[in-house]
Amino acid sequence: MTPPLLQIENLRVDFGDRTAVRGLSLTMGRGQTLGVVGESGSGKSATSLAILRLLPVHARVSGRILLEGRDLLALSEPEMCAVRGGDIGIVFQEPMTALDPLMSIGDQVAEAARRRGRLSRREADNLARRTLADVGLPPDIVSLDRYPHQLSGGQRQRVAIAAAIALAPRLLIADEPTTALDVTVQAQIMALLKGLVRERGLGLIFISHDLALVAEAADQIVVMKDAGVVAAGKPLDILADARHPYVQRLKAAAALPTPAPTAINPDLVLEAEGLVRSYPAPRRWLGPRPEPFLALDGVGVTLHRGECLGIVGESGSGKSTLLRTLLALDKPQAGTVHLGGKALDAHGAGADRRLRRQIQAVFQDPYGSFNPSWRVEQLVAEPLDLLDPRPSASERRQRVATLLAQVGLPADAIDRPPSAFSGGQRQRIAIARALAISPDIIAFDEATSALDVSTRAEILKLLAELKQTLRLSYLFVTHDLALVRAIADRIVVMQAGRVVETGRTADIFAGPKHPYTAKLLAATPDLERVLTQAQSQTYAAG
Amino acid sequence: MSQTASGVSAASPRAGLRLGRSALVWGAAISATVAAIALISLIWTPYNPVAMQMAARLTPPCFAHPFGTDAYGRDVLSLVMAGARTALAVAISACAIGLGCGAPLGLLAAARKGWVDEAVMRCADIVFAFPALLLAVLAAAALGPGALDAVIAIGVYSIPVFARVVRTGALRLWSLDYILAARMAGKGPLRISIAHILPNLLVALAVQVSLQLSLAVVAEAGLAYVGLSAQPPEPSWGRMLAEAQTLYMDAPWLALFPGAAIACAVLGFSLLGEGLRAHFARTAARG
Repeated sequence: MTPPLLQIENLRVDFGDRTAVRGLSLTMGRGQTLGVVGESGSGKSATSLAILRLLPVHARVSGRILLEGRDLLALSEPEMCAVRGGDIGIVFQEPMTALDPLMSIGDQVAEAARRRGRLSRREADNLARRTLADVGLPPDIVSLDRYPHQLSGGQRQRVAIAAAIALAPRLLIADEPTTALDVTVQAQIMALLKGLVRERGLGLIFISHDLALVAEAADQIVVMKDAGVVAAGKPLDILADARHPYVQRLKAAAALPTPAPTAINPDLVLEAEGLVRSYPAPRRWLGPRPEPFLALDGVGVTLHRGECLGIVGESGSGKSTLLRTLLALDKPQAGTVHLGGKALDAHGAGADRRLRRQIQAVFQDPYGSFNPSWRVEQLVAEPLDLLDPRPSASERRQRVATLLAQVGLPADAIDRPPSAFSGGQRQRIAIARALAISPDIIAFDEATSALDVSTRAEILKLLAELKQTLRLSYLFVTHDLALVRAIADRIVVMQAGRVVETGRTADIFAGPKHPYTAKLLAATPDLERVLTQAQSQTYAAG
Repeated sequence: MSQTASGVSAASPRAGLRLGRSALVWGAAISATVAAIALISLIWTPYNPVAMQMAARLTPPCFAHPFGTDAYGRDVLSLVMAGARTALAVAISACAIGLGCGAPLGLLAAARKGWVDEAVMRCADIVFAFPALLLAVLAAAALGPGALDAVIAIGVYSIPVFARVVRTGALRLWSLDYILAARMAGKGPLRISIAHILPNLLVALAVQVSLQLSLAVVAEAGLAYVGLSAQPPEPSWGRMLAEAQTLYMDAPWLALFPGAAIACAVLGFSLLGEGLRAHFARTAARG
């Protein structure tokens, strides 16, 4: 009887007094895909690094990791070097940093093979050519002597996958391989990984925080939380019959609720027309002056009182530029922005303070959003300087305390520095800061994308409540369609600096009119769709 | 990835941290000693550092004169102590000029970007390209010889250093979301620079000031050696070395003690700078 491809028995990883993995056991066969799902800090990456024995030296690892019956934890370091890349390949999250910027992609793909197999230059190039063609980068389109900076994010991730599979490993570990990519590119990479599993019969360990994505791809799922396994089994079983409350929570958070459609108030709070913003393209040496890059190409949006407008698009679509222009942080070359009927034409620092008071923003990075040397009181009170007359010190403190209560933070938060808070709490502080001067509009720039799904669900709930009680209007910029479906009343879909489609959320999700919107929708992992597909397959088989 | 990121960063720099901590302790101790000696010399030195005693000229180190005496019979210990005063006064004033002019220029360049940034940085390049010695000679020609020449020459040279450090740090800070939040709160570039940028650069500036002090001590000694800093009879380490040059076979202590004093001061300030850098990197990593 041949041993299974990978068998992990009672794996435990400790960093000092902190346990990263507690008693993990699993078995996977050849040609199988094992999905590992969990939020940040749940121990999923520590598991993958333990398999490769790439953990830092002070980590203590116990248990057994058997690759085709061979205990990897018992191997010497030189033997382990042969296993890495040879028997096991790995693809990391960040395609920007996983490749050596000074090495051509052909050399990177063949690097492991050349070092090990003493291949000649020609053989190595042939191997690189074949492998790159296998991952959808045929050499007649993308030549071997290109460098990583000349490729897009998706292409770079393909190169990283090619480098991982060049020596035909039997096991491929992909650690959040699509998290840094746009959804349509993510769909392509997932299709590629599935194809490799099918054609090469390799085992794939797919690590992700995205339950829907994993459920679509994996034969088996392991759900991790706080260093332990909380559920394991077939995706359908896990989704349909989740005994563990955490899995249910994860599922509930991933499958966000659809808001009840609200009547749109005819009162316009923001109106923008014909916005144009271009950046000069970098000029090549002695070359002709290139066309400037149009980040916004005649964009118009409207926002009604009490409405949440979702602005969606992939990276480079111009959605962030649009938001910065609407916030008067950037000046458009053409077009107008009206706030509450008045033209907002003073931009940047000297912007009309009265108009400034009507719109505030919450930004993406919960760690970069606060001056690290300030306390919460100062941070939240910063926009109060816009008020006329300025409130006194005791009024400020009073106001901040009210705001903190409003966003669900404890009263003692007021005197602490931002470093004392988690990502979700920090976004609550950022929301409190945005609410400080009671604006009509709050803009969110990918405000939940750095958060775990369960935290994200809580923040969304808070936003829905605040919108209701304070009659706020939201501008919600995101790349995440599931998110926009849960919160937006109307959606604007952007591509290459233009609005390609706009309409009520329910209408767009029911029947997208523009092909790009349809492509985006199809590429977005969706739990309900996974469930229906899986059920229909079960019926067909049964 | 969080486990590995923290794990890796905790593993490798641990040795470096220990080094950093002792660098900080030693640097602070040596710098404080040098400063204390300079202060003490204001009220007390074993002998009057400028009083000549021709009878006791070129006495080797002994109990009465631990560092010996020079060709005019002046006590070398007293001269070295009083020389610390000159060295520190020049170094600190020069750094104050550098910091006082360089930091605002760096903030301005980062806040305005575009042509202002270009202009400030190209001016900095020009200052760097201009020979320091020539500047000191020009200052001496204009103002007459004295320690002020050294202060001006060294100070002008520190301006671009501080401007670059501040600009680099400020550009990174300007790209952070809290600057956007401050702009949303209606703050202009000046208020953002003062409220948000400068306070978060204090660490980098503290490190740069210590390193710059050590460079200034060397530069002052060099200028004094060629006669472009403190003039006689004002004691100066660099001039003591110059005077010791013709006598080093007969009276090596004349070169040894001021040389050691320069080395100590430079080492103290550089260690302090390195130690501060390591210390703040550690606290930042702990977040």
